Amino acid sequence: MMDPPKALLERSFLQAVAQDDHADHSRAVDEYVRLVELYQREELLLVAVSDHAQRFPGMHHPWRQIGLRRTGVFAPVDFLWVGFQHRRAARRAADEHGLEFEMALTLTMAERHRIVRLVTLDPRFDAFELTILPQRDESTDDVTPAIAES
Amino acid sequence: MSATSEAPTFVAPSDRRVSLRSVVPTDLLHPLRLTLMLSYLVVYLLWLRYKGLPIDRISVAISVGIFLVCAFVGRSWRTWGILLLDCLFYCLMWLSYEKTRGAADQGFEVFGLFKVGPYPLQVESMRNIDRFLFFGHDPNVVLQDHFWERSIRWYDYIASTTYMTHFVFPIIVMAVLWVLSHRQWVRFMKRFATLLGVACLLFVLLPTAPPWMVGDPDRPYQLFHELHRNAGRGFRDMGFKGFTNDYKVQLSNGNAVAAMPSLHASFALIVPLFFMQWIRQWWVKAVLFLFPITMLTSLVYLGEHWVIDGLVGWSITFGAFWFWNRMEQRSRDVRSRTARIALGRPTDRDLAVDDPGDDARDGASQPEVAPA
Repeated sequence: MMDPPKALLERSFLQAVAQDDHADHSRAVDEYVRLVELYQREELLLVAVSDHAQRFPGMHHPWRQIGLRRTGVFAPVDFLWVGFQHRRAARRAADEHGLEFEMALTLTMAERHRIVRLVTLDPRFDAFELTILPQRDESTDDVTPAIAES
Repeated sequence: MSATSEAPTFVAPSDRRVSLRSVVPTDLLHPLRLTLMLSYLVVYLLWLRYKGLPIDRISVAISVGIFLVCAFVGRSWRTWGILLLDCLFYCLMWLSYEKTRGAADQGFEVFGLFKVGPYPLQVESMRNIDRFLFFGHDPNVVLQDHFWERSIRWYDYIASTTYMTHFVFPIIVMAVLWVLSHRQWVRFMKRFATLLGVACLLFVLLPTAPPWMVGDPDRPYQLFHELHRNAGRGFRDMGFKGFTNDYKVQLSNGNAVAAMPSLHASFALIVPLFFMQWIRQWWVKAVLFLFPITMLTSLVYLGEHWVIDGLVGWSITFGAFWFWNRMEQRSRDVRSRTARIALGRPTDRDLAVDDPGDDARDGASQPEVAPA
């Protein structure tokens, strides 16, 4: 409400940005650079689930935990800290709806923080009422549907 | 596209997307927090009506503390840890302010190493500035001579109520920001703490006799007739009252000559100024700015401050915003540049260096046509 809108960087996107040899690295970096420009203009905040972001170099440093020592690719990214109540909710969502736990955790954090923009390369998130970035190019989309149909 | 190794079993309807609320369990503590906050608000308003407005620091802090407990029920341990750290800094800020303000006219020792002050009491200088600004007139005297009456008039209610908001209004804003957005709370506190810090510096460097003191016949430097000093009379006549608890005695660091700048005026400006960023309509902005103007007018009418006290207070407020706006933008610029450098993408500086306009401005000669 008071802050600029937030874009949640999902782990598949983080991975693609961080790994030079990732198949979607170039596309992910283009999108990330665009988002960083919006961040610089204070039109957008970039956030990531702490459990996912801390897997990358420099993101688990003690000073980084309190928002200091912002180095590397993800310097502009803030953490969405995961508490036990988030894990519990994510576990319930995963069990009740047949979701992968990490995916359920992302959805739980998005819901609890009222985030509607998700930056991801995982097509499974297309099934949810979220604004998915980067925008899908349907003419070249040869990926299997996000959700398996029974 | 990347794909996970675990095949999803979740099946979504093919014709519509799924809302997150239908998947993520409801936070049952959220309605509890809302209920607690609303209940507390009702109790607080009743307390305000029958016991009075708490105006000492500790009572106000306790009021805010109870509200925050209601608002943070069920939050994570980390959130509580951050809240406690925030409270610690908050208390340190106020304690430093109170101690510095209290010692402003007597000087104080810095960690036992050296003493700062005391500096000469300003008796005539602020009055002279006001007279210069108002073509030889004393605004305090003019307002009271023209408007003050034994019976309480409508503007006395406005002046008195406006004056009393100083003790709670910014604190209420802090509490609300604490709950709504920690990021905005931090932004507000940076500006607020800067304001307090600069004010304390001026309290020490320029201890200033306020108008009511300068008009006091018991003082050796009476410059004009005695002013009426009863800032709370309109407020009390409406059925409200302010109260302070006994801890005020222990914390008694009030200092009548800590008057330049006027924090009443500064606090009245910092809140509307902070929220300007979210307001689009010009007329709403204009209405909001009426509040600090009303506050300064009230302070002058009530004999509490010189006009220049308020103007300097406002200047410090604007200065604090200017400073922190620049610092925050700089922080975003640095982080953005760090990310781009790590990605091997051009930064703003690289793009600026490559701009041919720079060469033209530098006066370097360039061939009109590149050689074959």
